[in-house]
Amino acid sequence: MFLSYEEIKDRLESELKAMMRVKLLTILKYVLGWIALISSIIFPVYFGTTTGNEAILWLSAFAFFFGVIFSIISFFKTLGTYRMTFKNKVVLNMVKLLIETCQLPEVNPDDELKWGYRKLGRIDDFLVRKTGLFVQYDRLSGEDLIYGTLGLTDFYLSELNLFIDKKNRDRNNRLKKIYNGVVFVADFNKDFKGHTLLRDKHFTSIGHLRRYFRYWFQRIWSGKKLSAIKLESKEFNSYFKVRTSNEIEARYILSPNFMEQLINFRKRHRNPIDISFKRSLISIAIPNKRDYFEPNIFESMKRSQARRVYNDLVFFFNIIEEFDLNTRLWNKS
Amino acid sequence: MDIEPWMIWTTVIILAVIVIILLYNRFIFLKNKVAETFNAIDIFLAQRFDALTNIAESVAAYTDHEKEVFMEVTKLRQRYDTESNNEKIKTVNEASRLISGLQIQVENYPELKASENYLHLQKTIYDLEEKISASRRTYNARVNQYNNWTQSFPMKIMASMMNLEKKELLQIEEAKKQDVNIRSILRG
Repeated sequence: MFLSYEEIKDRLESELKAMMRVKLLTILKYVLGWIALISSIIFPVYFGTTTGNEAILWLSAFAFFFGVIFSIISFFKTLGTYRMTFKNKVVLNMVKLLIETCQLPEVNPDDELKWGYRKLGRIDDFLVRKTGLFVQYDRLSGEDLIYGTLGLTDFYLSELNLFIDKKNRDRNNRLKKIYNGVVFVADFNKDFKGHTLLRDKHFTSIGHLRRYFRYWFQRIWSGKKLSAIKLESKEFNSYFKVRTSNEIEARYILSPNFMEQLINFRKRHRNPIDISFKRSLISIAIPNKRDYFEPNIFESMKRSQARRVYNDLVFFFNIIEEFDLNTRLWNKS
Repeated sequence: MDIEPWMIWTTVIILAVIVIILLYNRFIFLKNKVAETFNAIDIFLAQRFDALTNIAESVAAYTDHEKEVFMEVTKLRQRYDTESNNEKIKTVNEASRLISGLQIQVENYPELKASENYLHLQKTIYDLEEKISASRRTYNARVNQYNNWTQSFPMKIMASMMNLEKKELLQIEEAKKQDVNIRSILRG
């Protein structure tokens, strides 16, 4: 259905090579930045303390001040350029290749294969509320929207920040961030009969624990009744808590094969993942403190980072393909 | 105020009545859930049976050799609606076995295999298989829950007073997956 990673890697050879050059340049600038920072501390301190000349003292202070500022700006600028190049050269080209070379199993005259990217775009507020992933939030912001159509299904992938309004001690409103990460939404234009929600059970940090209890309280307060069910796979149950308003549909969606795919996807991520199947939407939330497609300059590009992006994108697009095929799953109304 | 023995007895009796009512309602709830799931399975099984009969009919229309199988499947379908739950499962399994034999024969008729009607029926059966599988998994999960409640002590005493017997897990033979590969079907 989609090109394999090896094929993608071959087709993106020039981009990956260019990325390697940018990476080497980034590492060089990174090292130079550190040298500048260390020099701007050592030399002024050394000359400032060993000479009684006032002019040299002032010069050392200036060197120290501008050296630190230059080093910090250099760090962030270099890393920013590297991240931007990774997004533009690797991620977007990968999306382009995956979508444009996709072979849909069922030939339908209305099928479309298209995609787009907006740096300052995000998933629409209306759509985020429709997903059923987030019980309560007041404002949202986001960036890096990748959107498109695969067959008859529209999809959206963007970084999102969700906030709630909180009153502080002075009775003034302040925004408290409750979610920071990436959200993927596939809109099938056909409805599920019920709502099935998968909440990740793992918490390895205080933040994860806070998230767990926030959802727990929100569920109690909202009064929405979804029954918890246990599935046959113990491993799956150890990762996800499944709640649903339609038990048979939930088991239809979560077939043994799909559960295995979800487990593998979950294993690749350090952070908890939530998935919702509601109305016409399949939505996945992956919280991440950093930029989702943020590359690490010290990690291998071809072997790990590009492959990680490929695996995630193919996982998202495969979901669309799998669920689009099961036409009888959907409510005809 | 002194606590009189009658007060203790009254409290115990009230608590016992509450427990009995709660248990009774719980058992009825679980029993109804199991029955509700079986009804869903029943609908899907009947639909699958119809699709299987249609497959048998289309194969029989193509070749005279398979008319007997079609007649047999039709007979099974006629008696299906009046059967008990356990008998229904047996009948559907029997029909599945007959049809899987038929599907092997279909390999000899590439035109039939590629015909639009046959592909549509295959796709329908695949969808129904998935739905039956999901319903069966739900049924078995609910039966397990029901059995855990009605078979463990001391709830077992109350369950036996209500004539609630242990229920068996459901085994439905599914058509061989390699015969109904949805991707190959859709790609034609």
